[in-house]
This record gives sequence, structure tokens and C-alpha cells, in this order.
Amino acid sequence: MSAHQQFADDLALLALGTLQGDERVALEKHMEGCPACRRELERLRGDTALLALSASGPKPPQRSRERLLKAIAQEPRAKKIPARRSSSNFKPWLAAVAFLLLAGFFWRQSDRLAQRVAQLQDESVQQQAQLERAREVVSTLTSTDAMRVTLVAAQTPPQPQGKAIYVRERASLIFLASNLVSLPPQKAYELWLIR
Amino acid sequence: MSLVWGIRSGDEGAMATLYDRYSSLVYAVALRVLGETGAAEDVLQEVFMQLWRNPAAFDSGRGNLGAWLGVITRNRAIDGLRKRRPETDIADVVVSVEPDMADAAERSRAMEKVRGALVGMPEAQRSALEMAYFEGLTHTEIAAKTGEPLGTIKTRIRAGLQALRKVFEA
Repeated sequence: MSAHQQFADDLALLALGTLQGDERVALEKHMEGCPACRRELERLRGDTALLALSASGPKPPQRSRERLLKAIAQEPRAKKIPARRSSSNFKPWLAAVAFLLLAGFFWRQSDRLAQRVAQLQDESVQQQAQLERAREVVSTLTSTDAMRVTLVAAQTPPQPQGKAIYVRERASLIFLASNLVSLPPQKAYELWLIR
Repeated sequence: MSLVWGIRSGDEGAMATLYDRYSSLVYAVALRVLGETGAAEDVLQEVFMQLWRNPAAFDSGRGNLGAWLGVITRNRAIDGLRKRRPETDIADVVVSVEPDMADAAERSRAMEKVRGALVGMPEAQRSALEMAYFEGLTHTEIAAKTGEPLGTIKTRIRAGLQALRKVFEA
């Protein structure tokens, strides 16, 4: 007996929805690798569906129709789907053209973005170098270990000296002083900035 | 399939037309399974409401609406008879049959063929097939009820369906 013959009777029961337990499990497992049995099950489902036509009897009462139509009128539809003429209007070539156009558009966009990223990277490197130079200058000016030498003409005694560097727009001020005379207690040098 | 599209777009008139076309079939199946008019009316209501709420569950490309409604009705009625929760999702039901159930004359001819095929079967075969279809009995339950061997019941059911197919292939 072939596998198909062994399962033939069970296929009919499965089509009727009455096959249960181990027999159902075994048949479903067999069908996973058996297209012939899957096709036969589909045909048997069609045969089974025909049995509905053997039922006969009175027509449903008029109240059933009224009940249904009333329920439908009261039932909010979550979403009304606009009617389409036919699903055959779908044109695969149109989808392919749209896909190619989109692909081209994204490729160009991607190319432009790559150029912009490279430009920004260059700018970033230059700014980083400028920042390093500025840090070096500030570090030298403010370092406590820095030697400060003022060159003057020979035999000139040391003169008190103060230098203020001020950038108004940035409200930034650097004050450098040398050879200032020591002040008595409660006295202090003052630097006034009048804007 | 314009009726189904009408229902998908929320057209109540399309639903009324569809009801007028298939309600007799749906009610007959529900009444045959449940044997009680009130319960059959409830199943009738439930089946059409399911279609109204979820028209996408029926895929017109994979089957025929009349046959699909027949299967849904039978499954719901059997669930009701056996007092169990619905076991099948209506969207999983795919059934394709030869006769065009939308056409009243063709549906009527198909009904005659099916009834003729059942009348032509040996009594035990027809009975086993009807117990499985209209009562939802398993072959084990049919065997227990009739006192026949399990294998015999299985073979009768399959032979009955084959006989039905032959009538439509002729």
C-alpha cells in the first residue's frame, strides 16, 4: 500500500473537518512533503462543499432579512474600501518602471549626500587644526611656568608695564602685567573697562 | 464579483442582494444541522454579519461565494451543535466548486445532482456521509453509533465523496 492509499480515507475525513488526534497529526505531516495529497485535499473540500446543496427546507422568515439589514445599518464600518474596477488593472511593467525611477532617484540622492559628507569632513579637519593652534597660544599665555621676557634698550631700568588685549564683540579680555610695584595692604590695582 | 466589491465599499444594497441570493442555502444548511428555527436564524445572521464586517475574508480569486458561505454556515452550525467555540477562521476557508452558485438556474441543477447522487448511494454510505457532514461526527463516533468497524466507516465516507464528484464530472 502506497503512502497515498494509506492516507486516502483520512484525507476525506480531514476535508470534512472530523479527523482528530494522532491520525490528523500524521496526515498533516505527510502532506507537508506530498503535493499530490494537498491537491486531493483541495478537491475533496470542493466535493464536501457540494453537500450543502443537499439541504432543503423552508425559506428563512422575512424577519431575518429585516434583522440583518437593521444590524448592518447600525454597524459602523471601520473603513469603507473604495470599490476597484478589477484587480486585473494591475500592470507589472508599470511597477517595474516606477521601481527603476525610484532606484535612480535614490542613487542620485545618495551620491549627493556622500559628496556633502566628504565636504563636511574636510571642514571639520580644518576647524580642528585652528582650534589646536588657538589652544596652544592661550596655553602659552596663561601657563604658570612660562618665562616672560621684555626686551628693552640696554641700561634701561625695568619699567612697570601692563598690556590689555580686549575684543569687544566677544567680551573677551586678556591682561598681561610685569614689573608692577607691590602695593600696600588694602590697596589694589584696578582696570576699568568703559563701554 | 461586483456584489463583494459593493460590500467591501459598505454598500448596504449589495448586502441585501447577496442575502436574497444565498439566504435560502445558508438557512437550509443551518436548519438541517441544528434542527431548530431560532438557532438556524441566529447562524444565518452571524454568517452574513461576518461577511459584512470582514468581506476581505472571502477571496474571490480562490473560490466561489455560494460554496464558501455553505462551508462557513456548516462549520458555525456544527460548532453551535457541539457547543464549542468556533474552530475555523473564516479567512482560512478556501473552497472551489464547479457549479456557478451565483446563477439560480445552475444552482438549482447542482442541487438536483447532489440529491440524486445521495439517493443513488447505498443507505449505509449515505448515512455515514450525512452524519459526518451534518452532525460533525468523527468516524469513531459514527462507528460507535452504528456498531460498524472504524475502517468501514472511513471507506464509506470517502467512497461517498467520490460518488458525488463523479456526478459532476460526468
